Parts: sequence; structure tokens; C-alpha cells
Amino acid sequence: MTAEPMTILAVDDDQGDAELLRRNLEQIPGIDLDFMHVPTVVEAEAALSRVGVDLAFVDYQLGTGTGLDLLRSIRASGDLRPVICLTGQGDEHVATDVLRAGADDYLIKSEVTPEKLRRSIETSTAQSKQRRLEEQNKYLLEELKVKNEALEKSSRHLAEMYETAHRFVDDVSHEFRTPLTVIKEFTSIVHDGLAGELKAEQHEYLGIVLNRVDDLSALIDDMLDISKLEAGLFGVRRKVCRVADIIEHIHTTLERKAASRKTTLDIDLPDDLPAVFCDPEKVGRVIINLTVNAYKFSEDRGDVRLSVRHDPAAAQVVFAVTDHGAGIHPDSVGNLFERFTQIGKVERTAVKGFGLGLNIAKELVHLNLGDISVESKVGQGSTFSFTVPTAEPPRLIARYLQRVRAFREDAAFVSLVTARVAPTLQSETHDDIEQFIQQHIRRGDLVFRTHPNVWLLVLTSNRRDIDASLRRIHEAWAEENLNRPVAPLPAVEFDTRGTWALTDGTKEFIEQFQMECGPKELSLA
Amino acid sequence: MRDMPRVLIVDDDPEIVQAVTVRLRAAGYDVIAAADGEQGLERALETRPDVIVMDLLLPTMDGLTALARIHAHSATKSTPVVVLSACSSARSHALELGARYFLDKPYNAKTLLSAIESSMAEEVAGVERV
Repeated sequence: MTAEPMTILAVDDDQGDAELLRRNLEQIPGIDLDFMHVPTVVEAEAALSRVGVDLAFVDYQLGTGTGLDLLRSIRASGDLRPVICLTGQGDEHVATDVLRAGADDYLIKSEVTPEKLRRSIETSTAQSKQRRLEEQNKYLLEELKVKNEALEKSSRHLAEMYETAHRFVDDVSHEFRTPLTVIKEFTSIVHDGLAGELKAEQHEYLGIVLNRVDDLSALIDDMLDISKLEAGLFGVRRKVCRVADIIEHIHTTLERKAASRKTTLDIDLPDDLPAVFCDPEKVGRVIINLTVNAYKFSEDRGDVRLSVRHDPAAAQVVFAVTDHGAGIHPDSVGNLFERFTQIGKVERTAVKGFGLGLNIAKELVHLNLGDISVESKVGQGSTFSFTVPTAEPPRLIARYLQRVRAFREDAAFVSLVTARVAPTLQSETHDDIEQFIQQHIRRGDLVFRTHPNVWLLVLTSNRRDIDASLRRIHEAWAEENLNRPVAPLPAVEFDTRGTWALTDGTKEFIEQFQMECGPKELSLA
Repeated sequence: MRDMPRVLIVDDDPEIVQAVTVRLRAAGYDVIAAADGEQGLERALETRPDVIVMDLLLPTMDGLTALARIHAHSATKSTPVVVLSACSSARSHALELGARYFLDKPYNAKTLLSAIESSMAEEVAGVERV
């Protein structure tokens, strides 16, 4: 029995019965008893509210009101202390009632012994403790629920604010573009002599206005891109492609922009470059951003050079854009790729408008698993370089894992999933499917086309179970088909080949990956 | 075809209409204008332009709806529509709906002229619309 002193309250209208109970209790070995007796319900309630009673014995037959009423009123007040009901001979039928009303136990008076009391006190106290725990848990759960709701509410609020901010950027960019259109076109009409002949000087000045209008509209594009990058809405379509195709695609733009800055671009493109794995449009954007910056830097200081070389040791291709401009002070190089950086000191007067372009370039290079850097000497010029991985699956996947470990704290597992469609479909349908898969995986995940009709998905997740992610793609697939009544996407079969923990399972993952992908270079689509 | 190819410009900004008109007239086009989607549809049916230059955010009927209605009508079902819009996010949707080209505002005059020219040329050559 407990060594702690125990205050026991007996509620009984019969003085003799109460005395008998006290004696029996005192005979329990090791008990340190503080016994109180009250004869009525009213006094019992008063005693329970006042004194530190640990346990109550309640007689079923009380002069005014029954023990049952007292029990109910105790429990109704939220009192969880142990209560044992005592009944007279012949009152056994009330047992169920008293237990239901909240008694922990019941004993027949005439059968009470110290041992029975000991056992009853022990179970009743244990039950009471259990009740208290349950009550506490209930309270904690309730509190958790409330906190959870508050969290959800504030997270919804944040999401809404985020959404509003992005919509704001969208709207503002639209509002900017309309007046810019009018400014640009009327200037251009006058510039082109459609409103009468111009003097050479007037023509030149309007040319300057037009250049600046183009800068401003490029800045608006940049703002939109940043907004999309932040929201994760910037879709990536990485695939196997040729460097020559990427450059060919942006060649006209590069030349036009060079001409408007009165400079020329010298392109050094070896013809034995390996295929690369990237989103060609994004890489094109990076080249444009870097060359346009270079044009700005090198006014009257010679050509801009774009060179590309293979770096087989690192399984990558390096793009470098060199200008012979003012150069960047070493102190400024560090945060050059951060948003809204301005170059300090002397160089600042020479070059402005550095901000968004380089930040976007950095983000786009990272999306393509590459790195960006700059080497610069004040007074001699700068070289901005960035890397793009070659299309060698084993090297690529090693690079990918390294990235995931370094930048994706939320990713604990990596899964390999194949997506397969019927081999007889047309190649346009395959392209649609690939685009769809790319759109519906997270932008940090990878898709390789291993056969004309089979794709290998590398998905990272914070959970071992990726069924939810696949189900989401399946649902999106069905939804997409609702909007494509004419040419629905064909049925696709996803097959999870395995899931590995990023901490220790990557060796097996790479082995499985190589088995699925084949050891050779990925081929061009 | 008429002596001067006819272009219908649908835009609710009168200054953009004016600018496009000056540019296209100088390039030898007959230009007519409409200020909203419904009027655009009416004028398209009435004047049978060779090319329509269409804004997207328009009063009464938006440009994409007008585009769909124009292409749903037998008389104008193969009239090429060049979308000229500040909402670059609508690009793929507009192209899916059958716009021949999608040009961002602010546009480049040369690009606009070549878009109009080549969509007429495709029309003459009978290029199938995707």
C-alpha cells in the first residue's frame, strides 16, 4: 500500500457503519490514514470542494438523496477522484447503476475486509489516474487541434498573400506593357520616318529611346520570371540536346542585341561537343542574359566572345562569355548573383542595371544542375562562365544526388519509377506525354527517356511511400484528358522500381538506375 | 484578293489602334479597327479582312472568345488571327485555340509586319491550321 498519507472521506448517514469502515481501513498494512466522516450529501460536497480528499467512500443509501445522486454530481463537476460505493446486503442490483454513474468500484458493506478494501482502493486509484491521463490527453489533443487550426489559418493566409504578390507582379507587368507599347511604337514610327523626314541627329536620339524601351520591357520580363521562379512555377524541361542547336536558336537575338549596342559577338563553338542534358530554352536565356550584360560592359571596348568547351573530367560543358569592359572589383564579385546587387565604387558609373539578369541566370543554371561563376579584372574585363552537365547518365545522377543532398533538406528518399505507354503511338504523342510528365513532377526531379515509349522518373520525397505522388500524376492525367476531347493522352503504366534512403541507400539506387538506363550515353530525342 | 490586303485590328486602346494603323498603312495595308470583342466579330464578318490582329483583354467579349467565334463562322473560319497581347501567359492557350502567331506587347514593328505577311502567305498556300 502507498506510503503517502491518504485522506479518505466516508459519506454515510450511519455513524456505526462509518466507524466500522474506519477500523477496517486502519487494519490495511502500511496505510497512513487521515479519515473524515460526513453524514449528508450537502456536507460531502462541501468537504470535497474544501479539503484535499484523495478518495471517497459513498454509501448508496443516504438519508437525504442517494449515493447515486452524489456520484453524479461529483462527476458532473469534473471531479475525477476515485470513489468507491458501499451498498447494503440486497442492494447488489444497483451495482451497474453506480458504476455507470462514475463509481470506480462497489463493495457490499457486510463483506468488507481490510484486504478487500486494500484491493479496491488500489484499483480505484489506478482507474482514477488513468481517467486523469485520458482527460489530460483529451485536453492536449483539443489544444493541438486549436493550434493546428491556427497554424493552418496562418499558412492559408501566407499562401494567399504569396498568391496576391505574384498576381500583383503579373498585373503590374501587364499594366506596364500597354503604355510601353504605345511609347515604343510611336517612337519607332517617327524613328522610321513614317511621320516625316528626320535629321540624322533626331534619328539617333530616337534610337536611344527605343533601346531604353527595350531594356525596360526586358526588365519587366525579368520581374515576371523571378516571380515564377520563386513560386516554383517555372517549369523545367530537361532533355538531351545539342549545344549547337541551343545557340542556333538564339543566334538572331544575340546578333540583333549586339548590333543595337554597336558591338559584335564572336562565337567559338567546337564541333565535337558531346550532347548535354538540360532545358535548352533556359540555357538560351542564360546565354542571352550574360551576353547582353557583356554588351553593356564593353561599349567601345571591343568584341564580346562566347566560347564553349567540353570538360570531360567533370562531365560538363562550360559556356563562357567574355567582355573587355571595366571589370568588377573583387569585393563586389561575391554577391554579384544575388538579387538587386549594384556594383559599388568607380565601376558603378560605368555599368548599371546589373540586378535581376544575373540572379535569374544563376537560378536557371541551378535548375539545370550547373554552376555559374565570374572571373574579372578591373580595367581588363570579365568572364562569366556556367556549366551544363553532359548527357552521361551515371555522371549525371551522381551530380544530381550531390545537388539534392546540398540543397534539398526536405528530400530523404529517392525513388525510381518507370512510365510506359504503348509503343505504337506517334512521336508527337510521346512528346506530349513527356511534356506532361515534366510539368507534373517537382522541378527538382528528373525524367529520362530511356526508350521511345518509356521514361525513367527520379523522384525525391520526404517519405518512403511515393504512391501519393504517383496518384497525383494519375489524377492530373485524367483531368488533362477531360480538356483534350480530341486527342486524349494514352493510358500510362507507372511502375515503382524501388525507393532508397538518401542517407545510406544511394549505392543500390545508382546500380538500379544504371540497370534501367543502360550504361551508354542517352540519345537525342 | 483585293489590291490592298485588309487588316482588322481589334484593340480597346485607341492609341495602340492608331499606332498599328499608321504602321500598317505605311506598309500598304487597308486597315479597319474595332474596339471590343463583339465589334471585332461583327466587323470581321462584315468586312472579311485578310488578317485580324487581336488583343486579348477586351470589353464585351474577350479576344480568345472572339477568336473562337470568328473561326467557328464559315465565312471567316480560315481568316488568320495574329494575337497581340501583354499577357504572355495566354500564349499557349491562344495558339491552341488557333491563333496563327502570338506577339508580346510591346511588339517589334518588323515582327508584326512579317507575322501578318506570312500568315497571309500561308493562307494563300493553303497551309492547314493545326
